[in-house]
Amino acid sequence: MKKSLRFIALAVLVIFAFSFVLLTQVGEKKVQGATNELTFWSWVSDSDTIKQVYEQAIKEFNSNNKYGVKIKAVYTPGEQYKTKLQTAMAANNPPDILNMWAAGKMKPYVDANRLYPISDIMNKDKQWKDRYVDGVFDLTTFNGKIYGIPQIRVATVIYYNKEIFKKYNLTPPKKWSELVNVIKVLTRNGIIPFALDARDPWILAMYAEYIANRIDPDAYRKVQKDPNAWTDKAFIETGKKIQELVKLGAFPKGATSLDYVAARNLFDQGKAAMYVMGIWDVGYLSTQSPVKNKVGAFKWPEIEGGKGNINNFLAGIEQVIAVSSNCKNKQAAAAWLKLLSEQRYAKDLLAEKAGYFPSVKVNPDPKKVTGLYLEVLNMLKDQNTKDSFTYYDVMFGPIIGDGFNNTIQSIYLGKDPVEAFKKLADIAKKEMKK
Amino acid sequence: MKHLEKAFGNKLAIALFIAPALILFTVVVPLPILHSFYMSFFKWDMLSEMTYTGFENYKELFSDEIFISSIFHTIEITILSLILQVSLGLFLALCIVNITRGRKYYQNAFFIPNVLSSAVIGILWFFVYNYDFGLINSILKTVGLQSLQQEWLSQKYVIFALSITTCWQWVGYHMILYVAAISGIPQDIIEAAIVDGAQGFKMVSKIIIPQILPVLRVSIVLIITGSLKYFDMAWIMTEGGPDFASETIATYIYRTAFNKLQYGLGSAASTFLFAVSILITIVINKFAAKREIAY
Repeated sequence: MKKSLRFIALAVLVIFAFSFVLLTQVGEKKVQGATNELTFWSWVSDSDTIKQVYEQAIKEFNSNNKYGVKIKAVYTPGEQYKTKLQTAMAANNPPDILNMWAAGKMKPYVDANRLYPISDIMNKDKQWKDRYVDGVFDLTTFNGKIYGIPQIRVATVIYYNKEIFKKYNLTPPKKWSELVNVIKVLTRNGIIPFALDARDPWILAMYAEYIANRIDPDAYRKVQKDPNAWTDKAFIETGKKIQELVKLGAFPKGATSLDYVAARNLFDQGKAAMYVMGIWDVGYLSTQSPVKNKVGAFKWPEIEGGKGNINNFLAGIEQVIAVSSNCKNKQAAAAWLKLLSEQRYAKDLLAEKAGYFPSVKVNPDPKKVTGLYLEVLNMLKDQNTKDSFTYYDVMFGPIIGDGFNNTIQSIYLGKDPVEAFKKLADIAKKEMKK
Repeated sequence: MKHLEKAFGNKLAIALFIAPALILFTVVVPLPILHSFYMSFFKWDMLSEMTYTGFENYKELFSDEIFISSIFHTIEITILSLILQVSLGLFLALCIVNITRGRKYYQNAFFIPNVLSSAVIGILWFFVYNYDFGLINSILKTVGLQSLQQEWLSQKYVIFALSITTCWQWVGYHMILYVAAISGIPQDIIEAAIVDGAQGFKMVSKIIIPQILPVLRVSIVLIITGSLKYFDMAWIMTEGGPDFASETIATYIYRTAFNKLQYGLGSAASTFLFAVSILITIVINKFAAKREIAY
């Protein structure tokens, strides 16, 4: 009897001991890692062509490099990436190389010294830096140092269905009054002017960011320093213009219950004539969309009496890769980043195959890209960089930037613009005081 | 057998067997709760140093309109869920115990949503509520009631729409609980009631409901605690929108902590939620005191 008791006690103890040993071993393994292995965390999913770029470059790098290291990629698509990265950062156990956001969303990481200024290495390698389009590093530069390398350029344009425009004798508008006229003609004929997903506030915010720029490009600069500038006339006016669009019936009914794909479907099915979206959709719209041969693009129209020029673009960068300050071999990490900027990745894969606009200078073969791609590429050449601006949620970070997006959504739903922007100014004041 | 009896009678053995669960519930479960409480006194974005700010987070929390409205939304969802799920669940249970043919089929049909993941249900109902091709508006159109077509996920209806989805998901579960409880009522009580002239509504209100009261209480507690931490459906279908019209306490916590990187504020909100949950559970247990039924 005693024996059995002892046996049970022993068994339990052994199990405990085993599990402790196992647990600690697993933990240690994770923390130590192999010294000749660099981990790369990315948020891309299997369907992203950029994943192919990463994978091929990793394969190429791992098979022959003078650093004797291997890069190991870990993919965590979607929202989870953010949570995972933050947890790792809080535990001070970040990956060596990682996908990052730009501007305001990158700044906290720079301020906390978590990222390595890659320009320290880049400046010694002029040939590498010259590969990039001018200005792509603007949003990843802090205190004169570059903290991340963007893979693609983004900008927002208005896509339109050429067939519908032709049918109703419309031309791409260059002025607000012309746009209003286009909307009126379309609604009269039972066609939705803009395919809008109003559920995601950032999409509606793109309209507002353009309108604000066309009214006064300075407004964007002012709010970077003075939170009270959110109540400036330019923004109030922007709110009123958004409500004017709602009143004109520019958006689909029930837009708040449409998501990205559902909204795009309206454009795909020819139910909507225009679609405001980033150029990251050029690939889809010109190769997969049912209306692929009918899609054109135009610049956001100017507003009469406004100070903004038609060539100011809402533009930015995407797929930024940064090196963490804990990285075990920064030279090797930089060498891999440099490899990613090779033409065979940028031009062949990103531009010609996927229809993206790489941050590296490329001259894609006109036969290998679609008409829409060339149209947009040429449009971007007109860009007036001085007064161009970027997505507010990227620029101003999660509190003020997302606050702006939500402000616009509430205005879309009928809130008084004066009141809505006053609230945003209060949020910004509190945030900037800190 | 004898050996086992002896072993279980021994105090050391008892301690050993209890140990894993004891460790789990004294360390692993309460520790994060305490840690979250501790974090609620700091300002922290998970990157820079934590700074102690005292009750600043709580002050900020209760001056935030969105948080206050999220409390009201949570209460609305709780009340709607209680009304919908208890009444519908009871109704379905009463129907099911009284049918003999195809009882299994109906039981399973109502229970199936319960085994689907909330993510799937959220997406499914997101389409049901769609203005253009959604099921509800399509039905209204076919029967010629175009005038009743609505934006179901608009500010006006979103809470109601979410509560219905949740009801669809959970009503089968509560129905099964009630079916089991009703089937457990001894036949002689029912027969005696019939002899005494109880029928229909009287039978339900005077005999059946009092008899299944303990199960009803359990299901009410489950609905309330489930509604308090209402998150998945709201996040998948509306992300708390439009314009925060369906923001619940749980989506607020997620938004502040993980989207805005205000971990202290998020912790303060979750501490509040924790306190409210405990309080409500105590209140329910007090008012609906245990009443064991002995047959």
